Formats: sequence, C-alpha cells, structure tokens
Amino acid sequence: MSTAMPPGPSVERSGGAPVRRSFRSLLYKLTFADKILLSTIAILLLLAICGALTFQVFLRSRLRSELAEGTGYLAMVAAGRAAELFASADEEGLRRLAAEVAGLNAGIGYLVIRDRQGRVVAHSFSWDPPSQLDDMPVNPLPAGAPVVSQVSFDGVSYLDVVLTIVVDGKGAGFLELGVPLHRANQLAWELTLLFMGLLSALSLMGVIVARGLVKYVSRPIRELTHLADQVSLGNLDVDFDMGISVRCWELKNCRQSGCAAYNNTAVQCWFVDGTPCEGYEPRFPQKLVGCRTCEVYRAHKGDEIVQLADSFRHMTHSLRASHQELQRAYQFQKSLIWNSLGGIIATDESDAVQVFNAAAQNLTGYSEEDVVGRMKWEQLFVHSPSSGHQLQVLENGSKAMFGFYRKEAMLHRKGGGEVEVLATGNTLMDGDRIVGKVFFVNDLREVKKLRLELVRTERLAAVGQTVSSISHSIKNILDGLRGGAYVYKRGLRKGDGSITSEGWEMVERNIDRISSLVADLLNFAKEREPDLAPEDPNRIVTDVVELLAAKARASGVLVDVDLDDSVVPWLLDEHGIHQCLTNLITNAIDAFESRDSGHVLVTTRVMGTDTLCITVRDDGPGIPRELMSQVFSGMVSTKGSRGTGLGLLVVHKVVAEHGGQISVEETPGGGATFVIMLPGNRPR
Amino acid sequence: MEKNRTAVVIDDELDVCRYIESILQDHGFDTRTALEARTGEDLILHSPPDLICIDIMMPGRSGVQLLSRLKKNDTTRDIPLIMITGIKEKMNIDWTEIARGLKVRRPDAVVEKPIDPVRLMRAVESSMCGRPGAE
Repeated sequence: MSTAMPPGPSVERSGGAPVRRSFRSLLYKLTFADKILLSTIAILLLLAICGALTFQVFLRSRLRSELAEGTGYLAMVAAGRAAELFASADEEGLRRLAAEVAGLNAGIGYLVIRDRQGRVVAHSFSWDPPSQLDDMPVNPLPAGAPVVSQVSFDGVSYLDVVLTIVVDGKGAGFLELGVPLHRANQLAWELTLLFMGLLSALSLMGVIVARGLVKYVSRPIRELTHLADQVSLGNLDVDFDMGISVRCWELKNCRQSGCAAYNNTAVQCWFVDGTPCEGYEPRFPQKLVGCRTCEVYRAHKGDEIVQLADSFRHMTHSLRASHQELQRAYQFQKSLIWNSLGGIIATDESDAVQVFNAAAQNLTGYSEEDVVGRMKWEQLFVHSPSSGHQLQVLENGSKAMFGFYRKEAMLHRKGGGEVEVLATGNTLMDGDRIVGKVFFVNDLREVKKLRLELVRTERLAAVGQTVSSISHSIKNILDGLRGGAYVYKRGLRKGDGSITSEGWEMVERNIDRISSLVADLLNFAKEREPDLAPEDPNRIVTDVVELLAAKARASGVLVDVDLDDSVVPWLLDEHGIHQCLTNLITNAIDAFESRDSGHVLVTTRVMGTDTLCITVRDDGPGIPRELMSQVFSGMVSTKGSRGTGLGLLVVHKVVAEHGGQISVEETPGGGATFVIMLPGNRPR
Repeated sequence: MEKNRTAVVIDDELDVCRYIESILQDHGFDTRTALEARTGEDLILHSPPDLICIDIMMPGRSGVQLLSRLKKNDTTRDIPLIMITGIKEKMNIDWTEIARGLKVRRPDAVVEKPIDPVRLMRAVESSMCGRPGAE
C-alpha cells in the first residue's frame, strides 16, 4: 500500500541548482580574458597537484624498494652469521648478534631470531617482541628468498624482512629484520614539497605568460566589440586594421585597374563581386569556396578572429553601400515628391500631414512649417457637400479603405480664400496595416482658364468655318428680298394685287430671316458669362413651345411636352436656354417641311441628384449618320441653303457655358433626338 | 399663237424659286418649280422643258448630282441647263473639271447669287442660242 506524500520542499533535491546557476552566471559575467586566465590557472593547479601526488607515490615506492633491498642484504649477512651460531648451538652468540645488528644503525628497528618451530631464540627488543611479529610465514620457507611485509606497532610502521637461516642445506630457523619506515616517508614528503614548490613557480610563470597571451588574443575582440557598438549606433564609417593585410594586386603584381578589387583597401578581394579570378565564380557567395584555395586568401588568412574581423569589415562595407543606396533612393524620391508639378499631401495614420510638397505650398500659400505635424488633411480641404471630396469608403474584404479618384475639390488658402483643385486620394498601406493617406491635387484654375480659351478658339474657328454657309444664307435672304421686290414691282406693273401681296410677303419673310440670323450670330459671338439664376426649367420649356405653336401648326407639326413634376428650380441662364430650346424645336419643325405631319416631344427629367436632362425628340427624316458627329461643329445643316448651321452651334455654346453636354442620337423608328444634360443644381 | 417656252426651276428656297420664276415668266416662259432635286427630276422627266435652272446647294440630292443624272439621260442631255450658285463666287469653280470628273457635259451656263435679272436672262439666251425652240 502506497501513501501519497504531500509535496514537501524540494530544497535538498534541487539544492545544487541555484549554486550551479550562480556559478554559471558568474562565469557568464567574466570577460573572455578572465575566462581564459581562470581556465589556465585551474589547469596548472590541477597539473601541479596531480604531479605532486604522482611524484610522491613514485618516490615512496622507490624509497621503499631501495630500503627493502638494503634491509634484505643486511638480513642475508646476519642470517649467514646466525647459521654459524645455530650450527654451534651458541644461543648466547645469537643474542649478541641480535644486539650487535640492532645497534649497528639507528635506521635498524629490531632483529628477531627464531628456531625452526618459530620460538624466539634471540631478539634486540628490551622486552618481549610484540605479538604483531608472531605471525610467522608458513613453513617451509624457500631458502634465500626474503619475505618483505609491513608491520606496525607502538605507533611505528616497519619494513619487515624475514629470511630463513640455512644450516647444512636445511632450514634451522628464521631471521626477522625490521627497519622503521617513518624516515623514508619523511624524506618522500620533503622531496614532494620541494617538487610542488617548483611546480608552483612554473605555474606562476605560466599564468603570467597566459595573461599576456590572453590580452594579445582578446584585443581584436575588444576592438570588434567597440566597432560593433559604433555600427549599431549608426556610425558606418568605422574602419580598422588587423595588422597584416595581403592585397591581391600587390601579391600578384596585378595592374588590371578595371578590376573592382584593384586598389580596394576597404575589403579583401574575395568579398568583391566580379573580380576576374580564373576558375572562380564572379559573385561573392559562390566564389568564396574557390577563393579558399587561392594563394592570396591563404597568404592573408589569419586565425578565426582575423577571419571574423574580415567578415565584419565586409559586412560594414556592404551595410555602408546599402545605406548609401537607400539614402540616394530616399533623396531621389524626396526630390520627385518635392518637385512634382502636382501638389502631394500625405498623412500618417492619425491623419496628421507629414508630406506637403512645394506645389501644395504654392497652391495653398501654407508653408511646410505651417502644416507638417500641425494640421490634419481635413483642415486643408473645404468642407461642402458640393465640393466633391467627400470620403468614399470602399469595402475591401473586412478593411474599410479610403479613396477617391479625380474629384473636383476646394483647398483652403492661407489667409482666406479657396483654390479649386482636381484631387485623387488613396490609402497608404504597409502590408495589411493602414499607415496613412495620400492626396494628389492639381490646380484647376489654369485648366479652367485654358478650357475657356479653347472654347473661345473653337468658336472662332467655327465662325471661320461657318462664314461661307452664313454668306450663302445671306445671299439667299438677299435673293429672297430682291425676289420679293421684283415680284412686288411686277404686281404693280401688272396691276395685280395678289402678285403685289405675294411680293410683300416674300420681303417680310426674308426680313424675319435676317433678324433670326442676326440673333443667332450675336448669341454665338457674344462673349459673356451665363446669367445664372434659379429658374423653373419646365416653365422655360412651356414658354418656348407656346411661342412656336403657330409655326408648328402652320407646318402641320404637333409639339408635345412631358415634364417632370419633381424638377426643382435650377441655376440657369434663362435667355440662353430659351434660345437653345427655340433652335432645337424650330429645327425639329423645319425637318417636317416636306411632309404633311410630324410629332415633336420635349421632356424634362432629373437624373440622380445633380443632373437635369432636357430632350427634344422628333420623328422626322433624322440626321444622316455621317453627319451625326459633326452637327455641333458649325458646318453642318440639313436645311440646304436655308440652314447656316449656326443654330446648333449656339445650342452647343450655351450648354457648354452651363458646364453641360449635348448629344444627338437617332430616334428609334426614325428622327433625331437631342439630349441636353445640365450638371449640378448648385451655386456656381 | 406661238407656244410659250417652258422652264423648270429647282431651288430649296421658295422665295428664290419664286424670284427666278417671275423673271422667266416676264420673258415669256411657262414655269414649273420644285423645292428639291428628286421632285424636280420627276417634273423634267415627265415633261422635258426648254430650260432647266438648278440650285447647287440643296438638302438631299444636290444640284451637281442632278446635273450628272440629267446630262447622262438621253432625253434631257441636250436641254439647256443653268446652275444657280451661291457658294464662293471668287473661287472660280472649274465646271469643266467637275464635268470631266462626272463624265458628263458641263452646264450650259452658271449664274451666281445674288441673282440679277439681266445677267440671268443673258445666260438663258446664250445657253438657248441655236437650240430647238430658241427665239
């Protein structure tokens, strides 16, 4: 049965761990030089201890064998004397021999002579031999071969040598000689201490040498560490010399000044791309393998630290080159942004402006100091529902993206006022992260001025083009007038009132035509801003249709209107739009001249929120396809000599002045449909 | 009684038609008028007149096209034909070239607008001179 024990403190089991940790931490904190020095001292100390112990063991062993040999010799001499005394059974002689041998030298401890049975016959002790000596070797002993052992009594160790006393070839007894070992041991210790002292002196010298060596070895490491610190602080202009540098062009006496390694003292040739080394790849990572067999590499190659220093130098060199490249690219892009003809405004993720280039400054009058880091982009743009720069949030997956393309917007000018621009906005991304916004703004003032200039030029060109058709028209009117006068006079001559009336009608008709032509010409040539005021488009349409009702009836044409009740008052030049509709509806009525009946439909519609659409549709003969694209150019009339082409030109001009567009298309089933689109019902 | 000479006047301008018609009537012509080339051609083919006056610039088929058709038609080829033109009198339109291009005979006379009755009648007489029915 086992009992679960509560987990007790594991101090005992893990007691070594904190010690180990602190030891490791201590080791970790030591410098490279200290580690080497400490290691050297530890090794030398270990060597000294081991050497001393080994020396002592060896010395004791040698001394002991020397002692055993000397004692054996003395025992043999004594045994020869004892054999003679045994032969003569001279016990007294044996006792004298024992005392004599024991008194020979202070180095002899004792002598014991025993008979064959092991009984002590004589001895050198002042009292009975100690019991430790009773343990006799087993009979029979080999003759002449001493038995050496160690015996201790009374606190002293002895080397004990036992020899058989041979009389007439037979063992007559034993001689046991003991010499104390303490003197030999003392000698061994003395010698060992001497040896240790010697070793310690040598170790000290070793430590001193190691210290110098370590200092020498760790110097480049310290230098590299210092340089690495400098590089990490951004100082890439560091350089150092490891002492010996072999340069390829010097070693090989090379004069290829076009080689990238030639005269390059910054890095070794194997780090340089595109050197013309035979058999080696031109690029660094591939060719380094081959370079290791090159004589330049081998001549230069130092220890690992030198190699590390070379690599570090190359790394710094590459880093410097990359840094310079990055700087160049940055300066280039900065210059691009700065010198862009269009304004560039960029923000960070908090919408604060960070880039505000020269063009943007010119546009707004704000300086970089006024804006960068101080204003948000929304403060630069004019906020108005009609300014057209409202945010557009485009759904892109789960991320809401900001952006708009080529919208007309207004920028605030410093000190008041606004400037009209064409703006494009976008979100700046770094991977999946939104890092800001960018706006490209172009001055619209010049464009608008040029556009007006173009309209004027086009109109002048159109005037030139229509001169011939106008002169033709004038000639026709003149002929009409002359004809009228001629017919009138003819009537008078003949006394025929009906002919006279006919002539007079002709004159009147052509006077009307002159009025209309002059009106068109004036309208077209007049250089004026449209007089915009909120007007009801439906009312203008109704007025024009009513004015032309008589003409339509005379031509057998029915003019209908289809008006959108939701049309609100629109900013229009009433006179201009009136003229436009008059021209378009007159054209439509005239198109039915050779027919008995016709139908014209005028409609108004509001498209979306900011476009007014007025269409004039007829089911007449229509406009030949080849003329469709030219009807607004001023040269085109389908009315033959009655048409000047001015009417549509006037329509086009008025619509353009409103910022609108006019187009013509074929009415399904025959006829022509003119569509006028007028933009934004907004204050201009 | 001598039968009156006949003339067809084709011009899209009603007043110009009426003017020319009056001048010709004063000089003893019976006139018919048309406001477009196609109708005029029908009138001519229906009853070939002694004189044809055509405006060059007309909607639909132009005066030049009508000239080409009439001068290619055996029935109408020899009828004196006067072109009435209002375009660019100073450009000296080369009718010989135009006729060569159309592979037809050139018009017998060309009268420029504004129409002067005397000049018109001089052209009428010169083009009808020596023709059957001429005075």
